Amino acid sequence: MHDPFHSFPQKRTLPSNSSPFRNLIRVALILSTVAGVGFSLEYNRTLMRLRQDHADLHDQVGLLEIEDAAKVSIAFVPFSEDDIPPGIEEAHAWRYRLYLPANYGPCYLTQRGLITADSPQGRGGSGSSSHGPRAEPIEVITSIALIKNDNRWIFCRASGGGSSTSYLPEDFQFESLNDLIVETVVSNKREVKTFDANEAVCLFRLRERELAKKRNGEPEDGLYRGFSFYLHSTKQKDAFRDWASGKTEQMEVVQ
Amino acid sequence: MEDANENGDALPNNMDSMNTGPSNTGQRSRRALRFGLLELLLLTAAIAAWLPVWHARRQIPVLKSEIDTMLAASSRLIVMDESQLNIRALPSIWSSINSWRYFAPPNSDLELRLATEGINSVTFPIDYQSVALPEGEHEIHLKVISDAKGYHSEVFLDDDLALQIHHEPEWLDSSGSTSTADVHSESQAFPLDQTLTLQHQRFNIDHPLTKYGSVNIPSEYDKKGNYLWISPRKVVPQPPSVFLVPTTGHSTQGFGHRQGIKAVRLTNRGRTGLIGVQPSLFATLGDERRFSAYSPLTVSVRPVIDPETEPEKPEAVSPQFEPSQIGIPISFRDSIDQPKEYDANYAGQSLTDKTIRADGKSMTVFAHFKPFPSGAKPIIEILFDAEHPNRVGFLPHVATDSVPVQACQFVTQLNAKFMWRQIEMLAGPADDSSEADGDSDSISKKTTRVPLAELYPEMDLDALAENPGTTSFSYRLIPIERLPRAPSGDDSIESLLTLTTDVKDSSKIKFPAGLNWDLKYQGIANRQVWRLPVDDPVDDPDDATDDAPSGVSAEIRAASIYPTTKLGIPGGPAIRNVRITVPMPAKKPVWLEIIAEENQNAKSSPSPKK
Repeated sequence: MHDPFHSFPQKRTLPSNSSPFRNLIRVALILSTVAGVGFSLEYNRTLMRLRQDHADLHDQVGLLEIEDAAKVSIAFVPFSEDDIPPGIEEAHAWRYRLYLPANYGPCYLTQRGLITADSPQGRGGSGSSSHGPRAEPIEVITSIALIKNDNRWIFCRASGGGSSTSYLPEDFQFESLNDLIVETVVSNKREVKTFDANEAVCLFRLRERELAKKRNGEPEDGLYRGFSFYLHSTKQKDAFRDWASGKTEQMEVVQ
Repeated sequence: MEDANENGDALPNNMDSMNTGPSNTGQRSRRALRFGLLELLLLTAAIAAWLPVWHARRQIPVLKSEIDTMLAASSRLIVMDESQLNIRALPSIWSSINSWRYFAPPNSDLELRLATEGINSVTFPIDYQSVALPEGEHEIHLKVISDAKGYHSEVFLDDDLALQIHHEPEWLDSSGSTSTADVHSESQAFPLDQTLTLQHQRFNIDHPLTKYGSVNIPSEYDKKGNYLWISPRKVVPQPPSVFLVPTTGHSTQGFGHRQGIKAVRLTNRGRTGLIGVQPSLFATLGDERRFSAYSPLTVSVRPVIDPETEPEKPEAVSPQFEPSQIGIPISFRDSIDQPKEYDANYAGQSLTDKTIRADGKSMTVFAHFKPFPSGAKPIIEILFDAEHPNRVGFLPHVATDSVPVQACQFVTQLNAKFMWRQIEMLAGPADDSSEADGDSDSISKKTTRVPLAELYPEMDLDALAENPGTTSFSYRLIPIERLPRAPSGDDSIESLLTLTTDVKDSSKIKFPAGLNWDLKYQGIANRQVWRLPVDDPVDDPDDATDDAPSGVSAEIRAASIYPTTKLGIPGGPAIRNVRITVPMPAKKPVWLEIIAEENQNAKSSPSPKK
């Protein structure tokens, strides 16, 4: 006959919780925790230092934040009087950080002498440089400076390891930049501008306010004394050249 | 009472199953793997302890990358080691000004030095201006400009002008420069006992013949430019040697005059076995020196065992040589003494300063040839004299275990490049008595430039100029008595075999299409001069014997096409080879000189003493 009082198994004594294996696990976890705390402290110290450096540098030169890796992004780098080296009578400088996407292949054109107000066209002299496309995106520091030496203004530009220097005419004089039209692609460190990779970008243009004069005193047609500095990609080289030489009114973008 | 199922079978007793059988072991294992609350808490604590590490390791590389990028645009110096010199280059807004920021620890005892002349790759300039480098963090600026008043180099320490050098406008005729530096835009730390180059700028010189070209000056030559460097104050640069000794045994860098003619060890295909000759820059000014082993002329050394048979050639016989025919290798050594064993390629010996005489006035290198198939083992003594930077001397010897060698031939090759097609000769035989009475710099003035056509009267060289073809020319002996003579440095007399060119401006030459660049001569007009010892007259004619060595002989051979091509030499046939035969045992060296045509009057001085 079924005995309800004896149908359930009696309570039995289970094995002790402190088996050697479990002790090992506990020790390992404790040691791991201690090590983790130690490493955390060290790494956090490093992280704090780097964050401080980052903040200081961000304050000094700004940060180029990339929203679209396939586009050209340009940020302004603050330039102070202290950054002007000694031995220069007077100087005005502008500096940018350029993010160039993969396979861009930057090409630069400097037009000097007589320039238009809204294109790379002009007369007088030009200089160009180009770099082959790279598989990875790159960041380039570009600087443009107007330097007065021996009572004459010099236009200097440097970007991506290349540089060029041009002398402005001796009678190209000004008391203040307000006497001229100065157009920069970005003008303050909080601003980051983005451009399509197929677009030509006017990085800098400086010109006189009045049209240039011909020898007979008549004004030039749409031309001003000054210089301009453009950026475009290798892919648009031919289209840009046609535009800069006046063959086309606008750059016919190659897709 | 035993439990039973409806069939009457006994039900398993749990106690029994625990105590016995496989199911009992499984239960024990499951209990061993069971985790309690303590383990769970410890696990949570461990994860919590390591989470910040994981998070930091993801963030740190991103931050570092952004910091590096921002640093390049900034002027900040990272001091990596306060016991060392920390320095970085600053972004520049004008190519005429270069700037650096540095940190120097206390008592670093460093100097900032500036030189504009005597800049070479061998040593720091010995003429320089210097200023003590202040400790702490400071800036250095180097401004280099040229204007109507001349060339100006100014060094600023912070805002103060510290060093300046100015030169007149005539100081330099240059259209470009090259620059190198040890310091970059990333902060670096350097030991205090090390010299550090901030700017090593060397000016090129304008091409002498073309409007827009420039000449690259070899690195070992003294150049003008701007050299700015930081040095321990106690380190004083030593004057560079007149001679250059290559730094490695396998080097193809030439040896000889630092700013003059050199001999070159050749290892490229088809040239093993030849001694390369690298003329002075100033003798070939304007010719393209594309590689460090520039040797537009080569010398083939051929031992003559039997005068009736053609001597062996050390170079590979034909361009399409078998792999085994690579030429007789040469070991260039400090001493004429043969080592117990040469290395397999005859290449391992390093030349040392032992090649330079103690007074620094001459340099001697010995070219040990691997034995020729005949058993001949020539050893050529190659000589350089400090007073004659355009000359190299050859004095043949043979090893003690060589087969007897009657004479040694020196055959120059690749002469066609220089388009030498005239030989300076006297109108009549030279007169020894007149030379002995004349002043030490006298050379007979009755010389005339004999064209090749006179040496090959049976051939129509004008026709060959139009249609070069593949005409073969034979060697023509040059009558020694018709060669001008000059006193040698040891009061003896030398005959001068002088090859000249009729090309005044090589930039106007139209070279044939397809001609390799190294055969196109684009430099100034020059001449090849062999200074050959004239036998000392025997005091007593009765002492003269048939065994006495006859004099050195000279021959030339012309060609209408460039070597290994079918392309005609512009202007017609030119001298292809010069063959100088020196009877053995030789007592005096023969000297080869390549000298610019415009300098030939200034440089026609006696040969050096041996």
